[in-house]
Amino acid sequence: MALSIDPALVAAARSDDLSLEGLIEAVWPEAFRVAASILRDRALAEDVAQEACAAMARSLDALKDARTFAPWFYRIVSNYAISTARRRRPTIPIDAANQCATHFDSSDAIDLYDALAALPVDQRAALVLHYYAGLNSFDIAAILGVAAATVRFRIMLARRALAKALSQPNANSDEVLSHVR
Amino acid sequence: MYADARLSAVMESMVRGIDAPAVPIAGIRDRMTAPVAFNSRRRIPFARYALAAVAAIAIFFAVFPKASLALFEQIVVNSYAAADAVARRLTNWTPPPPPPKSLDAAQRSQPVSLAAAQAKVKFTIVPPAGLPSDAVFVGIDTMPALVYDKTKRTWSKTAPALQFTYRRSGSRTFSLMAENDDPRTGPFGKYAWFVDELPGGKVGMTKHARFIWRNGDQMMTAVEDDGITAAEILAIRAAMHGQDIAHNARETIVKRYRLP
Repeated sequence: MALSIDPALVAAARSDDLSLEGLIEAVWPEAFRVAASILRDRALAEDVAQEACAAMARSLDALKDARTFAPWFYRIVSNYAISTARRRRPTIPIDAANQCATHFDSSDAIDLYDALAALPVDQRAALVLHYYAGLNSFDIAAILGVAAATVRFRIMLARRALAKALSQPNANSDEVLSHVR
Repeated sequence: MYADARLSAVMESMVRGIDAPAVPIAGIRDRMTAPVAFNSRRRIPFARYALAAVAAIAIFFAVFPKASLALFEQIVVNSYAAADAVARRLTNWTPPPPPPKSLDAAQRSQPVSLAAAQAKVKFTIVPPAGLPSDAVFVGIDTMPALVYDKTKRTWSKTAPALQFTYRRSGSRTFSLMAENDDPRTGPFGKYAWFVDELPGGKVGMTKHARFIWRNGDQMMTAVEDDGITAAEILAIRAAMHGQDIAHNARETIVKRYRLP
């Protein structure tokens, strides 16, 4: 899983203000990046990441097991990101500055970033949560509020669309489904 | 094609390539103390369940139309009975006792002539006019009414209503009811519901429009059915120069129990 937080820090953050601040600083980049990957809008991603961090801090006491912090936090971030994306009307970006500042280290990453833009937000979120955050289809299903089979189907569709967008027509959806569990 | 491992690697490269701004710790702290906005996503599962329930009911109705209607009818009847029982309990309503035997004779309807009918009632009879061309007068019957006084807890005989009965072609009949116009009575039902027994012990209810009008101190009531149409009733009212009484024009002040 991309996010690795010491459970001791999580436990300490429940009662100690400085630890909570440390926890927020630790999760902030991850919250912003995941939100930006889903939303593809820097201002919105910052807003969502702030909201997610605040929600995390408010409800930290509700987290029973500090070792499950990462999927729990991804859930908060993606919930806010998806609901924000659904509320937002589709727009054509006119301000390049509003796009996410990036320094991709490979052309594959640039291609993927551009290809993701064409996907529906639910498929984009499922891809990011599965391939980046390392969540399985059941965790993603809980986040998106759909069945795990639906998540697997969306990932299959997303991969198929990515393959087409990246001019890789030989997509094998059966292979994809076998990998997504 | 992106293999699974390669996609993970590229995805990680892509996400990590996004520059995160400095932590806006003050902004986050402000949001921590701000009132929590309602998250509309929480409503989605309930909406989904409601939609699924509606779909299931629709499918059940489509597959089992007869059973569905019977079930729906049973639910409506039971709900009405339950609501009625609650309303009666809340208002301390108790049904009146049955009328005494001494008033049995008063309950029976009697065929009378127009002159005899006028002698029995307190209002001035305005006979029906503008009847359908094939209507043949059959007779006038008194329609007895007993009144129960809740304070005195007694039944008493009151002036009867009159029923004008007519026969028509095709073995059809219809009747018009005349009674004393008591301004304390109302509101009047816009419709009369006829209960028909259907095969299989079921009950069907059909809705019939009710028309009420006044001539002086006489109030006349007619209900459209197989024997007379709404247009024909309106023609009678017009010919009698009757003044329409809207169904919701009055509120009930006194309660009358009319016996068959």
